[in-house]
Amino acid sequence: MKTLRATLVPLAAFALIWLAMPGASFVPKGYLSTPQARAAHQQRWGEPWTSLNVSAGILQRIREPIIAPIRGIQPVFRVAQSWHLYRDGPRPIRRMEVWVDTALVYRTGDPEYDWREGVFRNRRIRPMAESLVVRKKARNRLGIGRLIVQLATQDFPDASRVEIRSVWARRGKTPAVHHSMTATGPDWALEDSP
Amino acid sequence: MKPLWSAWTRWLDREVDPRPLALVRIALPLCVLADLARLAQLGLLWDVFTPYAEGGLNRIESPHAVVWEWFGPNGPWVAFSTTVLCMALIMIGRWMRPAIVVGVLAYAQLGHVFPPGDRAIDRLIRTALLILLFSGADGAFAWGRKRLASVPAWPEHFLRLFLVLVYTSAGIAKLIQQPEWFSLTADPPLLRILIDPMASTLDPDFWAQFPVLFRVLGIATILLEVSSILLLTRWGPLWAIGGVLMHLGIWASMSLGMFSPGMLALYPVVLAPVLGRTLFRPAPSRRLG
Repeated sequence: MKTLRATLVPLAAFALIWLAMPGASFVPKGYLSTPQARAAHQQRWGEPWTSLNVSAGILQRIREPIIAPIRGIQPVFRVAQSWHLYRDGPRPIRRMEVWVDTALVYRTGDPEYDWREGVFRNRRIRPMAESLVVRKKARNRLGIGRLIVQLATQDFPDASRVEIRSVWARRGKTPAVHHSMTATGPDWALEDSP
Repeated sequence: MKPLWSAWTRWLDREVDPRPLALVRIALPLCVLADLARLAQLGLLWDVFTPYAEGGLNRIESPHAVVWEWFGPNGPWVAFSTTVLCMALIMIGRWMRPAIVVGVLAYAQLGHVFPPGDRAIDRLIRTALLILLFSGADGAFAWGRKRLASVPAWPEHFLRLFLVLVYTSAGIAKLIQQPEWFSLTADPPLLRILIDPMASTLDPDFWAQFPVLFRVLGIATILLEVSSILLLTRWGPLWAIGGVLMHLGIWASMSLGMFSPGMLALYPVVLAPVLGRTLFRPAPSRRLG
């Protein structure tokens, strides 16, 4: 039992390190694999950077075939992750606004317009609101749009129109509508702005 | 070679106080339960765990969401109930090992059912629970069980190694993708992160006046992350003070749900030597166990 443990523990640690090797996800598989690419790198960056980068490319080509079968098991436990976490933030200040008829009821991060803030700030919903604000044709925009319309018609039963706006501004400048979606009663079908 | 092997097996045989690991065992599922309870409180369970075609939120389908095939439209609710039950069992320390296996599988299915809401912290919690599977984390603070005097130390080291990989990856990714983290003149990336209204709670107009503060904090973040290898040394508890401060800062300034509490849930093993000298002294009575 002791021998088995003494063998399995380092193997498991090796698998963990091999799978989650810091920085490895930034190295393409064929990175500096040709003499031409290495020569060009050498000319631009010199040593020791070229040797280091060539080694990273070689390591990646050794690593990839080994992690391929382990990767197949990862979805079962859904543990695959690059662990990049927060690398950078957006330069424009972007917010989501919800208008019911002519009244603004929600604006991201604005305590004056905080209708259903808990919903839009929830960690599972926030990424959807974020992609809706960032991309005009975000894949999940209709799902979250439908939820917003449903909540708005529930909370404001007399409403006839709900508009979801993505508002962008440069820091310290006046914000402008970047794109929007509108739903009008009684059918409440969502339509993208032109 | 033989002396090396003997030294290795002796190192693996080392034992530690079970209480730091037990605290991790309690804190991780507590985060999951609190997160799901918040979702229920907001009335979002149905929207999140229902297919788009039937009125749900998510259009992105995961090919690994087998609960639909196995249990039909009730699949997500089976996964949800199983996750809740197993997390509760892990927390109280009853049937810990089967509860971790089944609970992690069910929790993973919840992630496959609603991929946009399954974030890095969910994956981190699942990985950490799988490490606890092989530990003596139910050797203390477990319902109806007496506290063990000691348990194998290697799962503690394994959790620390996992944290090192997470923080080092985060630090290196920042440096590779955005050299401005170390710039003394460019707009600080940490400022951009912390005044993004979609993720942060700080007022952009007010805080943008203090770029130097964010430049210093940004450099401190990178230094902390890439020095996380210290977690594997006797300097680990000292490093952990910086880690705790960083996560408390994130918790106070961003709306990332259980990210900070989930990360901090792993810190009892990092702070184990300190906890051993302070919180856990004098030794508690058997009733605690």
